[in-house]
Parts: sequence; structure tokens; C-alpha cells
Amino acid sequence: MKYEKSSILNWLMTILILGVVILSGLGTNFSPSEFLDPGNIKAMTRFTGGLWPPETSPVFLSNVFKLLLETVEISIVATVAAIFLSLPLSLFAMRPRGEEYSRQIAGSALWSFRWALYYLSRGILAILRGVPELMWALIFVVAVGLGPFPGVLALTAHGTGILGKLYAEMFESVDQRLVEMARTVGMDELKILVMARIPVTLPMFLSYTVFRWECNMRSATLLGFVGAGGIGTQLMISMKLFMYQEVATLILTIFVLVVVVELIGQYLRTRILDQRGSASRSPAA
Amino acid sequence: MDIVVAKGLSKVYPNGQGLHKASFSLSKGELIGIVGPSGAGKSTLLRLLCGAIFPSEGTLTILGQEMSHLNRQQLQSLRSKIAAVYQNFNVIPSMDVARNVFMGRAGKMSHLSVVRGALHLTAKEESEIIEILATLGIEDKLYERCQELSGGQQQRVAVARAIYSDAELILADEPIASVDPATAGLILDLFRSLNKQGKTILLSLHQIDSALKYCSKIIAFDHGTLAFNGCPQDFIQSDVCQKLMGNVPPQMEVKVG
Repeated sequence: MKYEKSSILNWLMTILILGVVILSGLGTNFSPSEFLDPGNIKAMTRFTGGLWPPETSPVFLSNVFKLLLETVEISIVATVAAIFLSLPLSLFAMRPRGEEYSRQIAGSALWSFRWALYYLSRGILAILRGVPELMWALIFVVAVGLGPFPGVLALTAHGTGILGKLYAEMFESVDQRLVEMARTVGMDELKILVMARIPVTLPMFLSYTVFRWECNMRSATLLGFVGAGGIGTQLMISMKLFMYQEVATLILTIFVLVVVVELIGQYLRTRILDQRGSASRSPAA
Repeated sequence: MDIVVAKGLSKVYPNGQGLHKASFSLSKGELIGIVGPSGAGKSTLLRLLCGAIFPSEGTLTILGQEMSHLNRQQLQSLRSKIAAVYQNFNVIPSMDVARNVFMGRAGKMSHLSVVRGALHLTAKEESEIIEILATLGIEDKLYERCQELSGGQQQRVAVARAIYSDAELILADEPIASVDPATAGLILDLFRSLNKQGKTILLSLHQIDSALKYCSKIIAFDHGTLAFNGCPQDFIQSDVCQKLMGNVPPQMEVKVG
């Protein structure tokens, strides 16, 4: 076996990468010895010791249950709203393909209009998903006040940005021959969506959407930190009041909730994908 | 009545292939066979005729409307009067047979009816679709997904879609190239009986003997130019036919010649 001699460039790259890592570490006060500092160890023991036993008073538990329910509700409403908002946006965010969308055939005005719509909807989607959920929550808390509603709006805004892009790319991926066939039947883009693009991509569509619901569920547990509803509200209060036993209960319930939701999502997604797989595996008699 | 009129029709792709200056006209009620070697421009012509692509030069008038003078609505309405069957079937694999056939008429329906049809077919639509599928021998597959069907069955679904669309002009791009001989015979017989009912049908075929047997008119292409346009009897005598049959086993030549 022959080894290539490492060039100067390889060494330069190595030094550069190491340099970036070290500088970033210094910039973030990264120091493992902090963990071993006696003062910090004491604080951690106090915190972890305070976690046990978790708070189990019926009043607190019923409150937690109510907030958990609210968290799930936020995630469901936000996911459904995001589906309805992102579907029409994704239609325009699909790259116009096919000869009838060429400048020569469509005419300059229509061609420019279609591409302007494309970039506009892509831009809207990029802004929606570029702003993190918590920042949207902060904005909506200012706009509509405290409570679960700004949380729903925040997750809807961010989710629309993500689903819109995913849907658009998914619809774009449909075999162009099928799209051409659908067009030559005389269908417009909306009909093609219903009769061709959605049927072809349905498993992917459901799988992306279920995954988005899982993400919304996880995010919804944090919305309360900025006053946008859900279980995070109580977590924030208990932390600030040093009620570590309550915090323990909350962390445990959030953990269970997230795991349960992920299991449900995983089950749904494998069911959806299995259906597609088995269908294509079994040729007809 | 001329259903299609092409004058100096050209469609040139960036690689130079395509169709060059073809002029011909097709009358209502004809069964036309388009023959020619691969890359001769047969598919290009059919894609032009179903409105999937547009002429780069010349004029193409279909059902009295000139392609280049249409806005989107007019184009969609014209397309809904033309049905197409493709070599690779082009059925939606994840949809059932009924919906794939239903799609044939979707161009003429309102958006709401299309959505309704995707979810639920009326008894009338269902019985109409079953009737068509019965002539093709696949009525028992009504609610099976197309991806579970064999190639020959999928092509029959595509033919059923073309029949259901009630189009005046049916285009078929090598409809029997990917199916078994029995299905091929069935499909060609069906096109012939549709033709007897007054439909104008354009078939692009690799099998020249089939074209001669079924078609009332032959159009031959070679290297993107129109090489022959006339009746099958004249075609057998022509040089083009000799050239096309050149690489076919001799016994076939004897039978046809």
C-alpha cells in the first residue's frame, strides 16, 4: 500500500481547525475543572439532593396533569394549523417545472410573476423557520398576552416554515412524467396536487407531519419559560422558588410524556412506511 | 374535417434532436400509425399533440385551435379533449384503479368535484368505470392500487383512463411496447373498436406489422423528418418501409412484402 505524502495544505487545515476549536473553547469559558470546584459540587449536591422525593401532593399532581394536557393540546393545534398554512405556501414554493412555465411559452409577465411568487413564498418560509420557536413565543406573548394561545401561534409560525419547505420539496420530487401526464389530462396545479402529488407522496407527507408533531410536543414543554403556556410554566415557577421536589416531578412527567409521544410517532411512522413497503413488495396475481 | 393540422412543425431540443419541419393533417375518424426507428421524433410529435411541449417553429392546430395562441385556461380545456396513453403507463401507483380512471375526466370537472372524487366516487361514476374496465377484463381490480398490478394490467388502466375521458383524439405512445403479446392484441383491438365508434386515434408503434394490420393511415418518421404519409398499401411499396424493415428477420419480410 502506498501512502500519499501529506502536503503543507493538510497541515495548515489541521492547524486551522484546531485553532478554531481552541479559540471557541476559550471564548465560552470551557473548563472541566469547574465541575470539581468544591463550591460548585456543594451546590449540585444540594440541588440533586433536593430533588428527592418528588412532590406527589394531589393538588400539585392535578395541576401538573392540567398543564400536561395543555401542552399536548398546544402541540396538536399548532401542528394542524401549520399543515393548513404550509400546504398552500408549498404550492407556490415548488420550483415551476415543465415547458409551459418557460419564459418563451408563458410570456415574460406570467413567467416573472410565477418566479416572484416562488421566491416570495420561499422567503416567507425561510423567515418563519429561521426565527426559533421561543423567539416567536416572546413576540406573540407581547402581541396577544400570556397563556397557551401565544404558544400555539409560535409553534404554528415555526412549524409552517419547516413543513412548507418539506412539503414543497416533497411535491417537487414527484416523477415529472406523472406530472406531465396529469397536465395533459387538462388539470391545473390544484387538481394535480389532489390527484397526483398528494397520493404519490402520502406516506412521506404523513411521516413528516407526525415527526413535526413530535418536535412541537418537545418544544411545547419549554414554551412556559416565556409565559406561553404548557408545563414549562410550572417548571419555571418551581425552579425560581427553589421547590426542587416539584421540579423532580415535572422533569419526570415531561420525560415520560416525550418518550410516550416519540413511541406513538415511531409507531405511526413505521405503520405508514410499512404499508407502502408491503404494497410495493407484493405483485398482484 | 381535419382534427390536426401541422404546418412546418418543428421542435428542436438543445442536442439537435427532435422534429424538423413536419407538415401533415389528420382527419376525424382515422386510425393513424406512426412508425420510425428510435429517436425519429415519434414521441416528440405525440408530446406536441397532447400539449406537453410546444412547437419551436411552425404552427400546430388541434381541434380548430392553434396551440401557440392559447392562454392557460384554453390550453387546459384543449388538453382535456385529448387523451394520452404512454409506454411507461404513467398511472399513479399509490392510487386505486378507480381513481386512476376517474382522473381521465378531472380536467373537465370543477375543483370541488375532483376533491370529492378523490375521496368518494358516485354510484354513476363507479358503474361507468366498471363498464369500461369490463371491456378490458380488469373490472375485479376496481379498488386495487395500481402498484399491485402487473405491467399489462397497468397499461389497461391507462387505456381505461383514456376511454373514460371521452376525448375526441386519443394519442398512444408505443402503448404495447411494455406489455405481453396477449394484452398487446387486446389493446390494439380496443383501439380499433374505439376508432369504429368515431374516435380519432394516433398510435406510435415499433411493430410495423401491427401498424399495417390495424391502421388506416401510416406516417413514418426518420431522423426527425416526415418520411412517409399515406395509406398502408403504399407504405409497403415505399423505400421507407424497406429501410425500416431492413433489420427485421427475413421471414417477417416475406410475410409483409
